[in-house]
Amino acid sequence: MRFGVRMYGMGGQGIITLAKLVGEATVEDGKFVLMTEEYSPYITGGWSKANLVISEDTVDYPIPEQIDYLVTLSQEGLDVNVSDLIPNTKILTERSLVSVPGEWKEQTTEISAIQISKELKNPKGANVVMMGAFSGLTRIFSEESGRRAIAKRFPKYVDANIACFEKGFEEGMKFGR
Amino acid sequence: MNFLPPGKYFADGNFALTEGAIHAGCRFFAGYPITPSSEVLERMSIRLPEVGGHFIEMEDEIASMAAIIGASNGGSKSMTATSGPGFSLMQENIGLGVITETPTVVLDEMRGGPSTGIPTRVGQGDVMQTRWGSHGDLAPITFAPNSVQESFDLEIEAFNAAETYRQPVIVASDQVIGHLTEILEVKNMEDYHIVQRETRKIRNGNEGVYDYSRDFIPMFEAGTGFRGNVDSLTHDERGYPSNESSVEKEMLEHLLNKVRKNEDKIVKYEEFLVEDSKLVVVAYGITSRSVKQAVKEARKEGLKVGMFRPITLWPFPEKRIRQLAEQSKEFIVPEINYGQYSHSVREYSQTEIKEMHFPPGAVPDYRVILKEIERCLR
Repeated sequence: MRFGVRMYGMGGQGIITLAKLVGEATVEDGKFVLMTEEYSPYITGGWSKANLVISEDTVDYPIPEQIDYLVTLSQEGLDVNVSDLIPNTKILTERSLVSVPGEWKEQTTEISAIQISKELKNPKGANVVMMGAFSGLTRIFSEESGRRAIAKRFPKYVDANIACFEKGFEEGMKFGR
Repeated sequence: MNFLPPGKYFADGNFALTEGAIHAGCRFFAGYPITPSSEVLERMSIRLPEVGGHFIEMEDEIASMAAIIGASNGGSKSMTATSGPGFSLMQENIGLGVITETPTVVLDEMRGGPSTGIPTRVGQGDVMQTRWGSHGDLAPITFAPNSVQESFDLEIEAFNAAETYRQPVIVASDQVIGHLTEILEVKNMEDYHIVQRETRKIRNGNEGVYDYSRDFIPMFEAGTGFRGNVDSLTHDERGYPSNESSVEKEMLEHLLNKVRKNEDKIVKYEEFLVEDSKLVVVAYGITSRSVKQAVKEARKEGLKVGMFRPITLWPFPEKRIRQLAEQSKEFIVPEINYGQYSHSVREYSQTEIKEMHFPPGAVPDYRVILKEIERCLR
């Protein structure tokens, strides 16, 4: 089984970090992951985008052939990617920044990642809340692998980020199957 | 941390290029930040002080190239990292590295051009610049990785080649490989072959700085007692400038032949299903990954197609291309430019060449390449 995941947001929101965390955790679970990243040539606030190809076996071509999951922290992330989506694409959005049109509502999970990260006194951790929500929703990687990936990437801020991850996981799980 | 410990890492190409360089013994980096290679510079600024090396952020790329040539002559394995616009500025001093026989490594991470072009997205438009960019006759060595693993491994090979052939060696990566994150496996340090630099510290009699009768002579190390000239002018074996055509002939033939005579040792390539193929797709860098996928799909349809991937762009894998040209009715050469390497492939093959031009800014879609394979073989 091969999945394509696209993550999109504004420069500074931690989109690339989010994709690396998801990739790292998925690799921990023994899967093959390829991640590519792109960003606009502007300062903070320009677009930032990552693609992940997740598979049981090795993959050569680094671009996802279809987007099974779209995670976006900006309105632009929904607007510009709509043409790449398939009828089954699951969408995960930041509630305060993305307004989801009616036709996409059913397959979209809205998470208040920014608000949650503020409540947990880790306002930089909104992307980690999203990581947790992605895990809870999709179960592409285990909770345990998610924690390990966080510990590797943020050795000095493990607890604050695990708290964000767990709260996000809980939120995502409400909508997961 | 001294060397990156052995193990598996989920890491990107720029991380791998940096750590590969440190494994290879790089202890001096001078550069000027430029997308998409800036992460190499950033990581070097942290890592080199940890291993007893030196890092300088220079005022521009001309000075960066000059600094790494100076550092190498001072006894340090050195490198810089840049992208198209910076690589253009480095050209004159790459020639300085060649004529002074200074080992160093230049990483050029290709993005869309010309000029500033598409700074944050992929291109392969510097390929001929790595061959002919600096004026005069050169015999360049250029490696083109297509994965994170190769970014690490070829960076070590680039340093080894620089030390062995005493000239700047170019690693031509691209934006996608630099920012591609995948598994990197690092072996134990003792499992890597690292060419250590031998230097001459004391001058014996009339011993020259150079020796044109031998392909390889150890460098002398500045500041240790061996007084010698290192000059950008055409020079004799003592290092003294000369205006004579006869001296130019002797020096230049030495500079070219030390690489040309050893091409068989330097040239590297990967072949994928070429044994019985009627059609060969020649591709390097990120494009080769689209091609591999296209070849796999075409094989499922029973089409006899294979891939030839030059790992050293230069020296050109001439012998193997000639052989493949005899068995193959056609070559396809896809590139993220409007036809560069395809000219060299054409030069060495009597077979039909189909160029495929992909504009900078995106990884070539393997389905487009697949269609072209189908068209050629049906």
